[in-house]
Amino acid sequence: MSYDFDVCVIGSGAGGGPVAFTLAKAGYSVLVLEKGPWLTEKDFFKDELACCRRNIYTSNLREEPHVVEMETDEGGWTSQSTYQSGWNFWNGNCVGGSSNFMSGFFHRLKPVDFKLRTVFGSIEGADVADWPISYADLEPYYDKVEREIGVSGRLISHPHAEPRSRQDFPYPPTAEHPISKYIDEACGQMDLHSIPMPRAILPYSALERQGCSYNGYCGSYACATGAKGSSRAALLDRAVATGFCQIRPNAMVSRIISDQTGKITAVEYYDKNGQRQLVDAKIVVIACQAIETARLLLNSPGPKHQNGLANNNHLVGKNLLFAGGGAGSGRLPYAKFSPAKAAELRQFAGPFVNRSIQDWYIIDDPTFGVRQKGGTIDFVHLHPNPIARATRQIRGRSGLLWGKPLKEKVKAHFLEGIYLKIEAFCDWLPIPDCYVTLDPSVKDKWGLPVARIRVGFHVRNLQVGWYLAERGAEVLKQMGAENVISFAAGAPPTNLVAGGCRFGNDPKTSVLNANCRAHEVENLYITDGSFMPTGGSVPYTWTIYANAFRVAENIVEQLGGNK
Amino acid sequence: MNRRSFLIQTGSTITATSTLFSLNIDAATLSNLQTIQGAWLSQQQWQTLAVVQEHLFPSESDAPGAKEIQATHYLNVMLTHPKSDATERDLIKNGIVQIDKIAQDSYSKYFTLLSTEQREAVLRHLETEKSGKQWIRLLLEYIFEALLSDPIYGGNPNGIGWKWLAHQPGFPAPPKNKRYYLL
Repeated sequence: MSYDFDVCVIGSGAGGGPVAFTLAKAGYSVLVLEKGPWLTEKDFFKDELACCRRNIYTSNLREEPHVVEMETDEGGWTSQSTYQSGWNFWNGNCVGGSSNFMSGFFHRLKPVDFKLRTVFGSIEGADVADWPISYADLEPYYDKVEREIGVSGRLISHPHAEPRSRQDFPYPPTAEHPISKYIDEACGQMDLHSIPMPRAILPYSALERQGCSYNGYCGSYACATGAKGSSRAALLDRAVATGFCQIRPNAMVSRIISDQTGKITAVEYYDKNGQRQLVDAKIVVIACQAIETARLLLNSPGPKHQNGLANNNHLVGKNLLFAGGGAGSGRLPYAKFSPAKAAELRQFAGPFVNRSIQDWYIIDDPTFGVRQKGGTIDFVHLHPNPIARATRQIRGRSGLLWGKPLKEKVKAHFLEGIYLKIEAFCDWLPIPDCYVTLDPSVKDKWGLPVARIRVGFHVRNLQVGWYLAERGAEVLKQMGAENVISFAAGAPPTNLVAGGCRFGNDPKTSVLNANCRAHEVENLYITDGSFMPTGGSVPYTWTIYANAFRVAENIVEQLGGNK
Repeated sequence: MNRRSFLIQTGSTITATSTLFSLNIDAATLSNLQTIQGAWLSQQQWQTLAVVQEHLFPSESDAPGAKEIQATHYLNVMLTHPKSDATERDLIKNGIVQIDKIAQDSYSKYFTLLSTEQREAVLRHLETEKSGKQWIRLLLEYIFEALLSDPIYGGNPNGIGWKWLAHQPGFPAPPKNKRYYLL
């Protein structure tokens, strides 16, 4: 029997890129279907209106909304379309997906993250599960990501450092702002370990990409030099160059068609002109980011999949994860420091901060409770977007500010000190009230039911988030920062999403097997963050890349090895 | 009052009473408003809008105000480009109608003819209503966009806003043919 392609990959972000790259390099024909357009470095500019205020790189919320269910104060649930609320759950709809717009704060998971249930036991109200693989199984692929995507950093020893097979990072750290050494100094005084944060950013030209231009606008912006290790720049361009990979942009996959045996027979999509198309492949790989992956499965019932593809156990979309945590900030007023230090702090924030603390990756603090999982604290520049920074000054103590008082406040904000932000990451515990279903009435512009997302959270997320944010705030104070605030919130960060199709050895409690193949569908793999039963306490991208490389090797093997 | 007689009246107001009831609009700006701005607002409404913007973001000797950053022109660009939204034009328009109604009810005058203190009182009055507060907030956000977005969008001429706040813009800067609403 002949097929259009050996492998069809749906979605082109961090989950899809490694599969397309690995399979094409092994000599298999690959088709990548991407809903958004194919933009390249020459299309990317530092335009705050385009990227961040008009969101032109994500789907139009009028045409493609989500419906979000939030808990009310009375314990009930209320729902609203994101077209009404403006709360955007899209993260980048173009070739390369949201990896185009990441900050590239790259952390590996740690061995403990693969067996939280065994190490810390169960948590009331949460469905914590061990992973079916161990850190050792994934380590070679974390290493592979360092070399293929290009991860820069500098290794130091610290109590929670994960083991690694290679001495150091393949690329030295990106350039750093002078503020970083003052973080090191404060952490030293507090007996904390200031870790140079690894970044998926090339400090100089390599891997046929240009190095970082240090122009200060990185996260939320697509990279105009190719230094950022997006799936597009780092993998898909090279996959296409093999001659075995074809990318079809503006192709919205609407349904996956399966037969009487439960096997996938075709993928249905709408092309740029709204024409319905069919394509088939020996193996189908879905990587649309957790929410849209679950939605596509639920929108694809078949003779053996009445409740949606791979959903006979009603597990698709369940145990959705975001990232728990908190945040904070403080300002180092120039007037407070010596002229020499003030001049350093005033330097343009193009070079990065690149610092993290993981001293509380496990919290062993009797005042906080039993020994438990904690997380990571990252130090970052305040995002430079000037319109966003200015508009945050509009709110006064009583009512809106305008006129000269507003201008004074804006001027002081921009001119009198440098801000330093902390972002704390902890586990978003999997709970029964965080999941994806199909909305019964709201449809997108193709007439397909949109994802309905219930975003309940476990109170532990908040407790740990507060704890970590306060620890980060203490470092800011030690540095001499003023106006230090720290907080945690229950609302999900929409750019950090995983889970929904957890992997495991038991088909009764998991959607995917240990190789991320659907238990119920022999020719279906899922390689975005959906597989994760627990998310770890770091941003997900490195782990998604690493796991997708691991799964890709499995697919090569299933197809008969390198051609 | 027809449009023409209104223009004549306000024109004479500018020359005769500018020290007392300054419109804060110079002749060039006024002419600009009359010829360039879209027909979705009347001339009177354009002037009210410009005066509100200058009240919210006044010019200072050492800092640009709404006039210098071309806030009115910028707002018109944003509300009339190919992908702009008629509902937002209506929103802006309704606020202007509201402003002049409060001015008439309280002082029996157009907003443009009020003193600075009276204008402040009208805007604070408007702020007490939820929709009024949203309207003022929206205008302030457009003002900050005119202050700090790339000059290709019609505000921030020669980077005047960036210079005021010692802000270094990113690069590559967007070229005119890549304005977001053309993509």
